[in-house]
Amino acid sequence: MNTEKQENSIIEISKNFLVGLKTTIKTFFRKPVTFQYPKERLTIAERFRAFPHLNVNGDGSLRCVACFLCQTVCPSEAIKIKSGYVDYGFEHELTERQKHNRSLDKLKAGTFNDGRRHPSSFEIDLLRCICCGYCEEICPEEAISMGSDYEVAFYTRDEGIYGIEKLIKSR
Amino acid sequence: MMFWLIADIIKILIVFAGLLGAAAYLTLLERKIAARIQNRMGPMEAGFHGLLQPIADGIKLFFKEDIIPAGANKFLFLLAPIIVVIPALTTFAVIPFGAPVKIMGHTVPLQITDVNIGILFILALTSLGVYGVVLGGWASNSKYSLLGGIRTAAQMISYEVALVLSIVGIIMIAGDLSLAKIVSEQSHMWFIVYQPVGFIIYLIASTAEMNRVPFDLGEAEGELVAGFHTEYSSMEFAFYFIGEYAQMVVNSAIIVTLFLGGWQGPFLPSVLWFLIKVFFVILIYLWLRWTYPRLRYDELMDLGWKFLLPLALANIIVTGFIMILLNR
Repeated sequence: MNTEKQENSIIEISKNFLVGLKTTIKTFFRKPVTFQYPKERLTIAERFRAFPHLNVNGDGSLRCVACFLCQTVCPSEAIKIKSGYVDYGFEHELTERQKHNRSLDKLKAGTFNDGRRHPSSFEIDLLRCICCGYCEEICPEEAISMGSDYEVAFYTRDEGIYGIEKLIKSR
Repeated sequence: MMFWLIADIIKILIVFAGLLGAAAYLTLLERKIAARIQNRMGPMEAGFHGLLQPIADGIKLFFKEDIIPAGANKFLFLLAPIIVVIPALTTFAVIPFGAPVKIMGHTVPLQITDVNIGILFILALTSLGVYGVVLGGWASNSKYSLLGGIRTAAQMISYEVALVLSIVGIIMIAGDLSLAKIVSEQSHMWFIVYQPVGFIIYLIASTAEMNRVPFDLGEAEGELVAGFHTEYSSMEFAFYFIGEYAQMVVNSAIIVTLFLGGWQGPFLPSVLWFLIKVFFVILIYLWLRWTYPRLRYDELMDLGWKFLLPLALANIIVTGFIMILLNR
């Protein structure tokens, strides 16, 4: 490296001064890049990955079948699923073993019955979530997908844990 | 007699209000220009594009608590901001800001008072500003303030020399110390044409005199917190600010009067010409501020004593030679 002090002639110095002035006057007439954030928002790219949310069928029932794949693949262990009732449908002929499964008894009357297993609770800790999109990729039912809501704020850590209802509602 | 008294009072009020308003709105102008130079927008919330921002700032500062440090010299601490503001406002008294107008048969010069040693009056008053800074720095009983005050004192005194010498060429050409005369001498040609070097020296030295970036060593945020006004809060702090910006207006007005032909100009009314010129000189000051980084202290002293001072002296000698050659 050349550590010698650069010899500066007066012409060189004044030239550099003028270059500085030119740079600032050029920027002065350029359009500001600022976005007035709460009033204006940037348009989000289509591939943008914010926090995951749960998808529902047209009739409002959960698509999730509690297969635990997302919980397994989640690198930050943000997803906690509890397997709930297994629903065999009205037309299904129950086996002996299935007849002894009492998990359906806890279900309220009139709950939609589609012959699938469902989670009894599905929680994503948004404070742990790193928005990597692995859960969306691995999900066989397209039940979980990455949303576009990046404006998430909490007063306590517990509020950061989203349950089923909040996950459906979030964009 | 009564007429002159009333006319003078009206002129004083107009100049006083104009200077204070200009100082307030210069803060907004400065922030807007800084923002645009840095590709930002600046204040946008208060009023249309932040037009009410100076008023909001003023109200905020007015209602802030007045903190006086424990070991401070209370009298000097309160006196210092006043000493900064008053010379800055008073200097404008001798600057002609328009062609004489005829009111009720009298010819009223648009200048509060035409002192026949106008330039000396300005130089005397602007050099008083250093006392406010030094007193404020010393009376605060804080190491940052003291260091800032000392630095500023040394800086202002060394740049004062170059500042004064850069004007000497103008005085030689005009042959008079009165500002009204100097303006009327420029009716054919602005003095910046005869004295370009003097103009540049005055521009640099007055920037240093006002403690503005790139010469703001007295309040270098990176090293001295806020320099001489570290301990100031509330209205005293605002006074320092008003002083700084009023000084900027006054210095621009001096440059306009000495180098850019004062209020003279075609077509438009003279006061408007004066205001336009002052505005452009202020823009130059702002432009310089947001372009250059702060000088190191030894660089500052080198520039003042080894570059500006010899250049100013050479300028005087060359001007004198040329005047002798042209037999003027």
